Amino acid sequence: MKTWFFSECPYPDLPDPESYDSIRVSLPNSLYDPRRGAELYDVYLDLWQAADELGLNIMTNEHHQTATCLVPAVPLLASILARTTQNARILILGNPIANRRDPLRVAEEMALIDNLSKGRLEVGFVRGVPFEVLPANSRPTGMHDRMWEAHDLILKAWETHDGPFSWEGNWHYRHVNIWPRPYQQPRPPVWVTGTSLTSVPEIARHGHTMAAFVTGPTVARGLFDEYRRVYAESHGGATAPDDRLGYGVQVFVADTEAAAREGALKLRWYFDANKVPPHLANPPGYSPPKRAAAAGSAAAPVPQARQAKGQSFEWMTENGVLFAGTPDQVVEQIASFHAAVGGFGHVLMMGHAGPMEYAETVRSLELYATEVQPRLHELGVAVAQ
Amino acid sequence: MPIGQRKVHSWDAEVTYGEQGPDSAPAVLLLHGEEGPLASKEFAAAMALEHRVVTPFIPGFGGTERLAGADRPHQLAYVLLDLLDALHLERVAIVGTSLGAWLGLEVGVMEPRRLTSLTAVSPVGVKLNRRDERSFAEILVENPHAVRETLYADPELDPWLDDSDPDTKLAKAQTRESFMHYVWEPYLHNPLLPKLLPRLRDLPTLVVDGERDGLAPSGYYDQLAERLEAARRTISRAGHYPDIEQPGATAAAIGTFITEADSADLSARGKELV
Repeated sequence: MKTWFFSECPYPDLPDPESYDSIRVSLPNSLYDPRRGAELYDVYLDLWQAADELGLNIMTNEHHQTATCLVPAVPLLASILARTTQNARILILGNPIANRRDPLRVAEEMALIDNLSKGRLEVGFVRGVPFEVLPANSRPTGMHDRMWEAHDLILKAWETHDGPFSWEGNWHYRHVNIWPRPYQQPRPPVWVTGTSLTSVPEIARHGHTMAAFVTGPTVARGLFDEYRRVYAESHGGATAPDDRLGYGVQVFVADTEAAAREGALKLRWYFDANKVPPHLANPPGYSPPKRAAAAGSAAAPVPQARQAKGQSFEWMTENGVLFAGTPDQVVEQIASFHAAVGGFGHVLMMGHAGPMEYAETVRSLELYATEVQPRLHELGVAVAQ
Repeated sequence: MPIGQRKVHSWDAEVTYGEQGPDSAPAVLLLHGEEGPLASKEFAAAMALEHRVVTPFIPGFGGTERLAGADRPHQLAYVLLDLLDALHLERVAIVGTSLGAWLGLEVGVMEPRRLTSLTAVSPVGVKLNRRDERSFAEILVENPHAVRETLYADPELDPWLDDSDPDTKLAKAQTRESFMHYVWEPYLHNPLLPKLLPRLRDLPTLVVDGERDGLAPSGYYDQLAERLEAARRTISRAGHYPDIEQPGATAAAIGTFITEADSADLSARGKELV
């Protein structure tokens, strides 16, 4: 089992949520104090540094025009980490390529970071969250097709070594011939986030690693089983290795259960602070009309991440949005989740959120690295050859 | 309103359209707005008292499918011109509302000689202000209550207000999606249209707006009318959709204009023949 530490790099010093409509997209940046923000970037880079020193891997991501995530350009932070860390593999999850005006630039950025890190990069692609169609001015229809076209273009750019080729689709490039090419050959490992059953087959057919985020065990099991089914179907009956499946979850380890409860409450900021009005969460065209029409109705399933708002420690640990407690308790929670979903190979660990400080976050990482991670080998994760 | 379908050349598409009014009356091509063809049905009926009114369903609206790859209104102009051919309508008066008025402008600049007149009710599609000024208010990704206040003088008249029925909810989602799809970027306008509008210089044009329209910037309809050298009417107690909020008054305000333009057109053609 591999573990990837991440923080979304939030800006937590916000006024009473009653005073604004949305923490995303429309919140004025007059609420951002550049001095405080600059200090926070130091804290976040130091946390990733600490994770590397503790033997954990690191994950980074990006969002736009939001106080929940101060990273609007993930390759910039990942390229710093490529130089300052030594051993960690660096996962970018992900590049929102359906929203990118220039996906070829993504191929170039990733190839550069792969070189800087001497082959420690893993590249994730995501469609992009609904809130960000406005910041990206990205037409909400056709995003699935654009994402996979950008994916195909980027992989071809990485793997073509005999001079220029051209591309004429949603994007038009008369001349693709990237320098540098990736350090890893033929290319860095690719990840894609699985959000619904319809998004899974394409990921499985490519054999990319698929990650599900705070869906809870039942939805994760459905997504993972669909991945295993399509993987077998498209890989001559082969069993999908566990290390093709990842689960993103909040994790907090402490010396005592009481301290873990306190830390977990701070992590919950990520759910509690996510105030977004329905029109930003469900823009026309982002979901097919049937799903868009059902959104908000009593029959529509409420995503676990939205349900988690204000919930108790027990609810969060029982519903698989949080692994927290003493090392023994956390090992037990991960093992039980592992059994519930039929196996998986990566914990994508949101180990920091909201107002959490450096010291308490690193203490949790230390306990995880020294007392939880070694025992996860007992879970017997099957790894791709 | 009887509904029919016609096969057209572009996209090999099947176009759905409604047709009503006396066969012998001059033809009006009525282009509905983004609220869909049914939202304008009272207006169409009022227009049909004196005209043969043909109401194409814009592909993606009224339960029809969008056309593969079409994502800008000007691309739909081909289908509308094809439909005129399929219906053997050599020349028509075009009346459109909002998105439909934009389509009317696109058809007009493409083949101005096929029009006897163009009536643009609350037209969008033309940006007249600076690049750092919003051309039209945000209505695609916005609080629905605010959108209703922006678009309607009486928000209770929004035809999609009561969407408690699941079929209505679905139809509304399809309608909203198609509108978004066509107008997303550049938002609600074709940057080339200001350059093409002079092609309409010989065509009688009329710009109609509602007295409480929150979508367009202040003075927009007057400026556009000036560019088109168009006649102007403003409908009381209406917002962005006078055809929905005041169907009778809107039909009355434009009926005379169309009839006069048609007779002027007939007499001009008569002189040509002589």
